[in-house]
Amino acid sequence: MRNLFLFITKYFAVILFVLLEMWSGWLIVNESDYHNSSFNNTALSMRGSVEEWYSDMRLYFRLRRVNDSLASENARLRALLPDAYMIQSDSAKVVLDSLQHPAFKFLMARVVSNTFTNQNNYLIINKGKDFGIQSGWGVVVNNGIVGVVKDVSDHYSTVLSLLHNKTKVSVRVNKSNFVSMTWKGMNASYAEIDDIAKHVPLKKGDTVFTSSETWFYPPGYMVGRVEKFELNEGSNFYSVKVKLSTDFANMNYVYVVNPLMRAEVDSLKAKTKSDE
Amino acid sequence: MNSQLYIRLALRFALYVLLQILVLNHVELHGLMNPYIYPLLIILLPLGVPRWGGLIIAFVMGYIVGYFTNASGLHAAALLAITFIRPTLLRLFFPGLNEEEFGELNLTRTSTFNFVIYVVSMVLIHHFILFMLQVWSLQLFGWAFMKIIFSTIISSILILLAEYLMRNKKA
Repeated sequence: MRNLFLFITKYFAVILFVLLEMWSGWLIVNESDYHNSSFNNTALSMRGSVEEWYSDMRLYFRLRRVNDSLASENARLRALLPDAYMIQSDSAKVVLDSLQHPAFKFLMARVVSNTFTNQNNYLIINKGKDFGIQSGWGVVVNNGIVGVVKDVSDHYSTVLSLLHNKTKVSVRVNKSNFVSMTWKGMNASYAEIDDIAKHVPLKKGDTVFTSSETWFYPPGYMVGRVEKFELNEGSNFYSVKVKLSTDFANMNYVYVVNPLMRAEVDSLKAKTKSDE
Repeated sequence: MNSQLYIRLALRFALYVLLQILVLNHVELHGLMNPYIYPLLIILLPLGVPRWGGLIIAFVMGYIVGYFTNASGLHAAALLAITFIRPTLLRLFFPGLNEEEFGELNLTRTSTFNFVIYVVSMVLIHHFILFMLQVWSLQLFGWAFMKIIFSTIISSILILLAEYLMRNKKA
C-alpha cells in the first residue's frame, strides 16, 4: 500500500498526463463522429450568445462589403421582376394566375459563428425554433450554397457546413446526370466531383448547379465553377475540382431555405417504399 | 507572495484565449496557414508552477480554445503533449536553468538563439499533433505535412513577436 502511494506521488504528473490525454482522446472521438456531433440546447444557446456580440462588432467593420453584396443581389433580383421583361411577340400574353405555386421560401439569418479551417466545419446562425427552422433545411448565400441545418435550439441553429467530410451534394454540370460533390478537407475554396461520365463535355469555367434531386437547396442554384478536370486512368469518370462560389471566410448573412414541397415529396417516397 | 504571478498568468490566459478565438481562428491563408498563439502560455509558463498544475492549465486552455471550433479534444491533446515534454526541452536548450526558481521565462534571461529554437520546436510539436489528429487519414498526410510546416512558421513568428513586445513593455 505504501509503495503504491509512493509510486503515485512520484509519477503523479505522468499519471495525470495520461488520464488527461485519454480524456482528450475521448473528446476527439465524440466530436468527430458525425452523429454524435450534435450540440445540446443549452450549450448552443450559450455559445450563440457569446459569439453573437463579437460578430456584431466584426460585422460593423464589414458593412461596406455587406452593402456591396446586397446591392448586387438587389440588382440581380430586380432583373427578375416582371417589369424587367419586355414582351416581344404580340401573340403572347402574361396572365397572372394561381398556377405557379412557390416551392421554396427564404428566411434571412445572421451568422454568429463560422469555422472553415477544420476537417468538419459548422456554423451557428441566429434563428431557431422561434422562426420555425427545422433540421434538414438548406442554407444558401446569394451566390452559393452553405450547408444544411443540423440542430435547432430556441433562438439559434447549427448548420453542417459544406466544408464537412460527410458532405454530399447532388449537383449538375452541363448535361451531366446528377452527380455528387464532396469536400475532401483541404481548402475552403474547392470541392470535388468524382463521378462525371466521360461523355459529358466539360471545360474550365463551366458552372456547377444544384440538381433538382436534392430538396435541401432550390434546383439550379449556383454552387461553383469547374476549375480543373482530368480523366482517371482506367476509369470512365472525370474527377473534377470545383471552385466554390461561396466565400466561407466572409459570411455575414445567409438565407435558410424552407422547402415547402418537401413534406409532400417525402410522403410520396414513403409510399413507394411501403409498396415495394 | 506568488499571487501576483498567478494573477498575471490568469490575465495572460484570458488574453491568449480571446486573441485566439476572436481573431486568429478567423485567419486562414492559402488553406495552409492557421496561426495559433495560445501555446505561448505554456511556452512561457513560470518554472515554479508545478507540473501537474501546468497539465491542468493546458487541458483547460485547450478545451476552451477548441470549444469554439468544435475541436476541444484536438487542442487539449496537443497542448497537453507540449506541456508534458516541456521540462525535457528546457533542460536540452537551457542547461543552466535553475528549475526551482520562480520566475518567468523570457528572452533577456536566456540566449536569443536558444530561445528561438525552443519556441519553434514547441510550436512544431504542437502543430504536428494538432494537424495529424485533425486529418486522421493517410491520403491527406502530404497536405497535413505542408500545413504543419507553414503554420509552424507563421505561429512561431507571431509568438516570438508577441514575446518581444511584452518584454519591451516590461523593460
